[in-house]
Amino acid sequence: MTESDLHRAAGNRQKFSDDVKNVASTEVVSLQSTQVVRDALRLFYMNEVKQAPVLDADGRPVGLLSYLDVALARLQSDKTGP
Amino acid sequence: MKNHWDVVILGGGFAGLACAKRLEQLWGAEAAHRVLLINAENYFVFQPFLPEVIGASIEPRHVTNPIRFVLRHCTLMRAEVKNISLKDRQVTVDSADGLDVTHIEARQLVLALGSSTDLRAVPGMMEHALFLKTLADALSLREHIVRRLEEASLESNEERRKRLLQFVVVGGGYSGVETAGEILDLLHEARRFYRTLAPAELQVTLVHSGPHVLPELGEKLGRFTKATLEQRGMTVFVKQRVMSVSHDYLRLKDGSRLETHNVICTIGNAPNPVLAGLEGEYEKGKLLTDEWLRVKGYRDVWAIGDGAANPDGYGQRCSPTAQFATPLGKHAANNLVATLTQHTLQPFRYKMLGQMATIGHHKGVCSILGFRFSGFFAWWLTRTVHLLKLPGFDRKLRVVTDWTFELFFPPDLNYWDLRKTQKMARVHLEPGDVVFHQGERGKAFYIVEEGILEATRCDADGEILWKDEVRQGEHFGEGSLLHGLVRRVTVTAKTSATLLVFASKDFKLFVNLFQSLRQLLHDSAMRGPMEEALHSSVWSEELLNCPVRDLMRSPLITCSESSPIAEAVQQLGKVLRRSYCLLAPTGS
Repeated sequence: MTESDLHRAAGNRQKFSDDVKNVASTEVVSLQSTQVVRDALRLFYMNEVKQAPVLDADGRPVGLLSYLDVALARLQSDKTGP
Repeated sequence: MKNHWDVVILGGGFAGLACAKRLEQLWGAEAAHRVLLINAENYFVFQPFLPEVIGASIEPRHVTNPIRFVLRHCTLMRAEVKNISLKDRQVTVDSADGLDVTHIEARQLVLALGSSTDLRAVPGMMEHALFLKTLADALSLREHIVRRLEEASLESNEERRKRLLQFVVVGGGYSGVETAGEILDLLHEARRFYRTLAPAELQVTLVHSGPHVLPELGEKLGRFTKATLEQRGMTVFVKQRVMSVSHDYLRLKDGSRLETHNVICTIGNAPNPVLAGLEGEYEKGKLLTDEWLRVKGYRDVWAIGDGAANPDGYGQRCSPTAQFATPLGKHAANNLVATLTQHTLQPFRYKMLGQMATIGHHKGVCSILGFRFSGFFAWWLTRTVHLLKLPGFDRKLRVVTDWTFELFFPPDLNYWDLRKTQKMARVHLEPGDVVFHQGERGKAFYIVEEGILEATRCDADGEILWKDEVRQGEHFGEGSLLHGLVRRVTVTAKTSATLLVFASKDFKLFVNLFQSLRQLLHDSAMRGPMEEALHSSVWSEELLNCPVRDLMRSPLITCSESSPIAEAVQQLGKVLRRSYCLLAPTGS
C-alpha cells in the first residue's frame, strides 16, 4: 500500500471507509533478504518502482527497502569513509 | 487443362519463345493443343533494354510484352517449374505458391529455363548488391538510385554522403558496361534537380576482373570503352576482383576498400537451379547437348539457351546471348518436329554476326563481321538493331516514343518505394563493420543469425564506459525504436556476421500487436541503461554488494486487508512524511 494507491483511490472516488484490499496494489515485486543492493537497484529499474518489500526465507515480509534508503546509505558512507 | 502434350517448352525467354514461334509457323492453329509453354511470368522481358530502364530512357512496361500477344496459338501456363524428370519427360509445376501443383508429361520436352544468379562465392554480395536479371531488378535499381539522391541531398555528414553517392558496378561485360553508362547518364541528368550535390560527389566505378572491359569485342574496343567512360568521369578498374561486400563498402583483391552503399552486380550467372542435378551430362554447370541440341543420352529432350552448353557447329559453345538463343530456339523446333515425323535431324551451326553495346552518352561500340567501330554511329546502330529485335509492333512504337521524349525532357525522377512490402532483410558484415553509431537515429531492429558483435558505449570524450558482446540468437537495436531515442551504443562486428534486419516500421507493427514480445523487448531495452546506471560512479562496489537486510526498514507497519482505507492513511501519517505501509495478509 503506497501513496500512489491512495492517489488512485481518491481518483476513483473511493470512500475512506472502503477496505484497504480494494485499493492496495496486488502485483508486487519483492526482494529476498539475502539479495544485495545491486539486485535491488536492478529490480527498481526494470519494474520502474521506488521501493519493494523484503521477504525472509519463508516468504514472510520482514522489511521494506526504498531507493531513498540506498541513497541515504551512500551519503552515510561518504561521511564515514576515508 | 490437359496433362499430356506433344511439346512442352519450359521458359519464355528468347530461346523458349523462338522455339514456340517456329512451332506455330510449322503447325499453325494446331499448336494450340500440341504445344504448352510454361513460364514463371506471363510476359517476356527484352533483356537488352533493361539498362535503359535503369537510366530512365525507357518506361519499364515497354521492355516487356505479354507472351499471349507474341504467341497466337501455343498454350501458355504461368507457373514455376519445380521438378523435371528427363527419363519420363515429366514436369512438376506450381502455379500458386505450393497450392496448385500439377504434373505434366511431354512427348518432346524443351528446356529453355535460362540462368539465374549465384554469388555465394563472394561474401555479402547476395545480401547487399543489387542485380540486373529481371524487370523487378531494373525497377528497384532505378528506384534505389533516385532514393540515394534524395537521401544524399539531406545528408550533412560528408563520409555518409560519399557512400550514398558512390555507385559501384561489378562486371565489365555487356550489362555491366551498359548499366554503368546508363547510371552515369542518369546521375548527370538528375544533378540539376539536386542543387546541393556537387558534380564531383557523384561517382560511378566499374570493377572488371579481365584485362579489358567488353572482352567479347576485343582489346581495342575494350580500351576505347574504358577511355570513353573515364573521360566522362567514371572510374574503371580492370584486373580487379571484389572479395567481399558489406553494408558500407566493398573490398577489392588488392585489399583496398571502396566506400559505398550501392553495389550493382552483373556477374555470377549460374544455370537455373531447377536444371541442377538432373540425370544428364554437365559442362560448367550447364546441361550438355549434342549437335542436334538434344540433352546427351536422351532422344526427346532438348536444352537450349543460357542454361545449356550448346555446340555452335564451329567447335565452340554458343555464348549466352539473345543472338544465339533465337536461332537455337528455331533449330530445336525444327529438329523436334523432324523427330516426331521421323525425318532426318540437322546439326546446329551458327556463326555470330557481330556484337554491340551502348556505353552511355550517345556512344556505342560494335564489332560486325570483323569490322570494329565505335562512337555515335555504333550507338545508333546498336539501338536500332535492338529495336528491330524487340517483339511486337506496338512495343517498338512505344520505345521509339520514349526515346523521342528523352531527347526533349529530363528523366523521370519519381521515387516509388517498391520495398514498402519488404518485411525483413539479411545483412552480411565483415569484422570491424559498424552496424550503427552511438547518437544515430534508430532505423531498424537486428537479430544475430551468425557471428559475434560488440556494443560499446562511450562518453562525450570518446572514453569507453562499457561494452558487451552480442552473439548468435541474440538481438539488439530495440531500445531506440521502442522509446524513440537515439542509439545509445555503437555496434561493431567482431567476426564475420549475418544479421536479420527488421525495418523500424515493420518492427513497430509487429511488437504493437504482439504484447508479450513487446514486454520482453521492453525489458531487454531497459537492461542497457540499467547496467550503465550501476556502472556509474555513484554507487561504490561495497554498497552494491551490501545485503538488503542491512539497509531495509524494519519492522514493518502493518494493517489487515479488511481494515478501512482511513486506518492505512493514519498509519502512513504516523511514520515519516514519505514512508510506506505494507499490507500484511491476514494471519501473517
